[in-house]
Amino acid sequence: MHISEGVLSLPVLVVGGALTLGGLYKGLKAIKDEDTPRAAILAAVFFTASLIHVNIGPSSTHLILSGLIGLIMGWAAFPVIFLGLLLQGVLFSFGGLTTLGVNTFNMAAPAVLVAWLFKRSVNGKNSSLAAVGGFMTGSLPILISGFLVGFCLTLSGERFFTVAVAVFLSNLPIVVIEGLFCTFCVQFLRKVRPAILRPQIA
Amino acid sequence: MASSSGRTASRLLFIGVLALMAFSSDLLWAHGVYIFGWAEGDQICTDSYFTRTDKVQGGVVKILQNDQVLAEGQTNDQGEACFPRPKVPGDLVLVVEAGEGHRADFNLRAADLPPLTEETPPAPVETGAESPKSLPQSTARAAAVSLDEVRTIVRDELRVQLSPFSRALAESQTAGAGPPSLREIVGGLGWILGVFGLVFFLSGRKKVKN
Repeated sequence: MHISEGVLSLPVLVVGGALTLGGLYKGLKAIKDEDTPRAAILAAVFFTASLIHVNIGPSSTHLILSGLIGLIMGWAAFPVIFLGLLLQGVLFSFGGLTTLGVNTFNMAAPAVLVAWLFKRSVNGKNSSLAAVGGFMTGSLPILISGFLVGFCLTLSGERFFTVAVAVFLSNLPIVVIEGLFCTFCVQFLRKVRPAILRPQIA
Repeated sequence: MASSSGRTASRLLFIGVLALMAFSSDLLWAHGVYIFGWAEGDQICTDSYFTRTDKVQGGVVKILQNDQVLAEGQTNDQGEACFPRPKVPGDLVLVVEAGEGHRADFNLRAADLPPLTEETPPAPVETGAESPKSLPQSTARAAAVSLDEVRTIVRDELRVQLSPFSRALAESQTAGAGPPSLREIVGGLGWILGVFGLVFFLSGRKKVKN
């Protein structure tokens, strides 16, 4: 999911950066003092989880856990994911600084959107619906992020269909894994501390 | 009873997720693509990888000189791709595109490349007054030919013998650009905690002042 330096065209980089700035503004406003430790832990989880990679065909993909972050943090997923990507770019040269805006938006925006869509079912009384909501919250953001990556690459000159198929196929195992992982987390948090699953997503 | 079965289901689900992760991935601590290249005789060879054991297979490799694409090809199963060496001397940029926006490049400086092998012109056959009188003309020609042959043999042999060293030298230049170590990952986690700690401290100080 990390788009490297030198791949995207300038307009795509600028638009991606501007959208991420908007998300960061909204996200930083949403973080209250008591949310800071939780944001730190989730940034650390995102930073580490992205380093576990799955080798598929000519490419490789990795755990993202953006759906889970969106579910717990809401708009604050933007700063959390931004910090993780920034450190990965600076310390390990994963992705890059010029593509930071696009990469952040591609991962954080679907997380916020899907968390908003399934927030009610995840927090509802019906355990089965919550499980379905958890699975969708984990898996759908990956699919949407993959679509956005393909879209950005297309705008920068690559053929959409080829890229979209490659991105979809390479992320399919991660979609399933993240869906199941998120389901487990939702079921666990519903029992242990359900308040964590209720972020303020305006 | 219901909560006990729910707990068992959750545990089974968690074990299932871990098993799926274990079977579908190498669980390698890395993400990023890398490339290095070296001259091997009249060829430029490249090695592209995600980790030292996880090679880029079927990735697109390009050789650029002054932003012009001179050659393009695909990596094999070992992540390698070789191209005929460009005739025009100059710095080269080797680029690998491993799909989904994964891209890396490597600079191969002209100064680091051995001179191109050229067709050695046949040694001039000395005739007439300039020809050494003590050496018959036919013997001089035979000696010249055999000298060329010796030169070619030595050159080919050196090329074969030095090839691993050229590769190792190029690989050593990418020593810092590899998968992160555990120490670097822990360092990154320290940064995250530090940044949020600072935010927490500043926000707390502001509250105390107010």
